[in-house]
Amino acid sequence: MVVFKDEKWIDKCPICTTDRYFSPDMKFLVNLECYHRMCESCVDRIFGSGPALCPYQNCGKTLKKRQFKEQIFDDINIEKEVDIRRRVCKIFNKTESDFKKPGEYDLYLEKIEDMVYNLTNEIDVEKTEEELLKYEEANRGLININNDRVKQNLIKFQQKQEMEKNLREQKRKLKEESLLEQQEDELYYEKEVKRKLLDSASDVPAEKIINQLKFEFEQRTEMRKKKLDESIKALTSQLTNSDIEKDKNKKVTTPFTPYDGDKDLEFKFTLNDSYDDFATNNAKNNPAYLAGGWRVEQVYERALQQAFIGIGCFIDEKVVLSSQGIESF
Amino acid sequence: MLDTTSSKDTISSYIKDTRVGEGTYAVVYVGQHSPSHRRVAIKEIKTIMFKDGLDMSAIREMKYLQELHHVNIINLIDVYYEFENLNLVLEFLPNDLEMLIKDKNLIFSPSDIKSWLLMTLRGIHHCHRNFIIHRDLKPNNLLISPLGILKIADFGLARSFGANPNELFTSNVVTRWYRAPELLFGSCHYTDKIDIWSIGIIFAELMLRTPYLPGLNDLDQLDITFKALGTPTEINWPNVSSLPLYKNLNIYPKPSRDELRRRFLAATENALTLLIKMTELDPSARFNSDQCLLSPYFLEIPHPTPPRNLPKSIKNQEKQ
Repeated sequence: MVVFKDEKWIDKCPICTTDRYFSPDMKFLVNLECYHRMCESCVDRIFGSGPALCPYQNCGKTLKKRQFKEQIFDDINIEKEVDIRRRVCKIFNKTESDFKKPGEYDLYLEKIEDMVYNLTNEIDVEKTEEELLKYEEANRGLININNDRVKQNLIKFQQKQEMEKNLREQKRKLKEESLLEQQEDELYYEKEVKRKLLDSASDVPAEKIINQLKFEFEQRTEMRKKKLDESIKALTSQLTNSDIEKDKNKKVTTPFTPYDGDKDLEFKFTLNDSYDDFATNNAKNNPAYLAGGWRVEQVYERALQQAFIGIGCFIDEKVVLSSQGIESF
Repeated sequence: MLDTTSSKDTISSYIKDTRVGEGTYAVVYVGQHSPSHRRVAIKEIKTIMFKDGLDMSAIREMKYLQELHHVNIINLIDVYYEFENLNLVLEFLPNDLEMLIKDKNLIFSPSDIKSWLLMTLRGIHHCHRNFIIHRDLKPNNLLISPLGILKIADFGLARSFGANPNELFTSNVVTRWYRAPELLFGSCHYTDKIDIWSIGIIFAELMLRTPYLPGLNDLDQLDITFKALGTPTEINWPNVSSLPLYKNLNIYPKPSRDELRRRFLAATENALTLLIKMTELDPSARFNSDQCLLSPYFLEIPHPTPPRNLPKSIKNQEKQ
């Protein structure tokens, strides 16, 4: 694979120069203080016995081991911004419904963005931190209420996911059961046919017996299919999911056409199973041909298509259509 | 249709501006059609280099592009002869899919991937129903118009198939990472299914954002392919042992559906089925372009993104 110059540094620890090539399990960590990255073993080595200075030159920050965390984003600035945003949004956590006037919420969001930007780019850090602290103290009660609300929403979401998972599991079980039943029934049917045919007492013709049993068997299969469909439907309707409803309402007005409306639906010929063609007779069953996916039918088809193509095509009509520039998606 | 007879008018009507690339047999320029000011790409074929006439790929490109007219295939606008050089005038398409995949600032949604795959399949379906195999499908050859429409380009390796069974095809085609297993085994009688394999690998690459089977050399490509998808045997690929290079293989087990599901976390069940069917080792079990287009994957939600809303590379927008 091609390694790009600017990607090289990603897989190498700048402190001990261990390469991911040699130790594929290595992890990179960053800290919340100065966001300098190093590998896990370096963190253990340097900070294992208590706080120490950051090993980067000219950094000079004192770091602790528990401040380190795994890096999620390749771009360190994004990593930093995400952390800061998370911290700020935990404190500034009102939602749109908390505001009465329409413009107020926008101003509130603007303020959050300003703070995140300032902290990320280290502009007026002290002033911003102070503002953050002041707001937190002033609104402690409200912040806690809002945080609880977020937590509850999360729990609801997790419950919904759990429910969906259960549903899938149940569906799978139902299908499996039905399949098993079907297989048993097949065995039973075969046995029954043999038993009844061997039963010498009856003088009904054999064909009639077989047909009768076959009919019964097919009916049972049909019933089973219906039952399965119904129970799956019942299960799905239990979960009246608002999301699914929403998607249904959003239905696209133009139908999807796989060929973009451009397809010869049928040819004016029927393909026979085989033709006596000296050119292909040798190749027809040659394993080296068959292994590559080659099939004699393709040769027949092409020959016939080339012979018949254009029949039923009226050039004048085509010209009109293409001049209208019909294009769809 | 092409109008090569009125060559006297056309010579003067195309102007070459800047040189944008150079291949083994051609130099590509960005140009202009002077009466209409339409931007075009001009491929100048180096005729002087070749003693025995034109390079094969130039002839192939002309031969097939003259026949194929489809929204998802690059349009050959004109051909003209000037200063002992042959010039192919093509649609100007500034982007290709490889650039988009490599641009880490872009985020692909499942509907974007569906849209690109759909356009590729429509284009290749048009080739295949005209009995033409492309033989060099890769993200780099899938160009993207300023309106976001994907177009298959570079027909330098294309050829027609299905006519004479006694013809031998060379198995040394398709860029290595996108080469189907029957080609890796040196088959001389392959079919349009090799293009479907390439598209399947591109589909995987769109989801992973990194090449799916990046072999270092031809042998490694065999190994890496079977490590990912299992080693074929006579059972799951009848007659495979009669292919010239089927020998001394490392045996890997076929991955279960669950394992593939873990590999492609974002894929829905229908997407996974389509991917599995497109990357089927046995070419006769692999889907053809019809079967791919009719897959339920294209019917389920989310619907494919309309081309003009697809992610675009910012770099080339500035250029225009």
